[in-house]
Amino acid sequence: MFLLGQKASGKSTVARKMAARTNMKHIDFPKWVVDSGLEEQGDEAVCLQLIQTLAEQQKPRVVLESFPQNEFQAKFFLRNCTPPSNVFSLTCSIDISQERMNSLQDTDSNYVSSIALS
Amino acid sequence: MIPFLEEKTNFSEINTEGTLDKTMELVNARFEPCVIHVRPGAKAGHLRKEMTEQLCTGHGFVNLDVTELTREESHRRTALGLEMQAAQQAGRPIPASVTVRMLQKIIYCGQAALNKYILTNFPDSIDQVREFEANCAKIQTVIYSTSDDAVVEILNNNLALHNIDSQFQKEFRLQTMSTWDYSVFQEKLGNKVEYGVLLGQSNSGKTTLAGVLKSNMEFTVIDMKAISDAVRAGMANEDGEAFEGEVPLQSVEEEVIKIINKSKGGA
Repeated sequence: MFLLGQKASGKSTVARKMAARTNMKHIDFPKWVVDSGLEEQGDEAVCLQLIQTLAEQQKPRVVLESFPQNEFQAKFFLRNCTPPSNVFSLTCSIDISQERMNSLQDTDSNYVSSIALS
Repeated sequence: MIPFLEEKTNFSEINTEGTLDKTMELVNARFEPCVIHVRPGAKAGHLRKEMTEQLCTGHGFVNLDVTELTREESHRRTALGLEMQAAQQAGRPIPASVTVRMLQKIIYCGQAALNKYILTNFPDSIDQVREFEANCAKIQTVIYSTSDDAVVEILNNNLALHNIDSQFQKEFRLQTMSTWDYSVFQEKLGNKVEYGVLLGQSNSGKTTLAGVLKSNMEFTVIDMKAISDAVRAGMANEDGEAFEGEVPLQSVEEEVIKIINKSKGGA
């Protein structure tokens, strides 16, 4: 399952709750890329590594947060792996997004300034 | 990227401006399986058995008999089974959270075809309902098998405060059935009939399109002209002479309603 959405739309919260409720594994894609040391790699190499990681899962049901990040990744994944059973795109207005962002400290890694958010 | 995913995948857009509970409700409604609970009413225990058998053999439901599953889990001495055994040995009831974790693994086993479940012997208390709905799936409907009167009387006393029948009744999720009928069952689940109207001039392809909808999407086709002709044939006089006047619209409507009632729960 793919879970997409803008900043502060609730992806991580929804993904965590969904994974706990439905016996799924939660993978935060941007965090997974950093943890796997793939920041410098191109889209194709990252997708291949992701597919490999999914194939090795003992729990074959996974919530993939913030993936895909572009059309190439989406097309490459669908060409080379089982299509997702569901794709959810979470949306909210900029105002709500800003309000949620304000509740975070500017030291928080998820914090985005209002100018950048707009 | 979004248009590509919209075209190629099972894509849903969810607005998250409401509360987290509301957002989760919207998300869960998109992929949660249909879970129902059938309760035996007075003098109607056999009806529950019949409903369960019919739903499992003919309509793809899976019966989750929690008593049986608990016994098997304990017998297999899994991690959950050991927790169950420990509770039983200590003379305590098995915690609802343990039962729900067991059900969660079964319900979300990853087999897409298995998406309709009947809960049997669970839940029995409001706490168990809350635990199940908070951590596993929403119970769509509680079907209460009743005797002929089809009435469930819920008394306004302390006992009723802890009774799941009263809880579901308050939320309009308690339904009664006094005989088994799949179309009535579908209606009780809230599955409404989907209608479509095909209009067009002569030879525009109405009948062909209706035939495609029937064969590919299992729609029931109601051909108004055929019904009108059948009603006309039934109005022939004793000598067999065809009725030549205008067919009363009310008679045609009655026939249409009969067909719709037969196909309730479908499309």
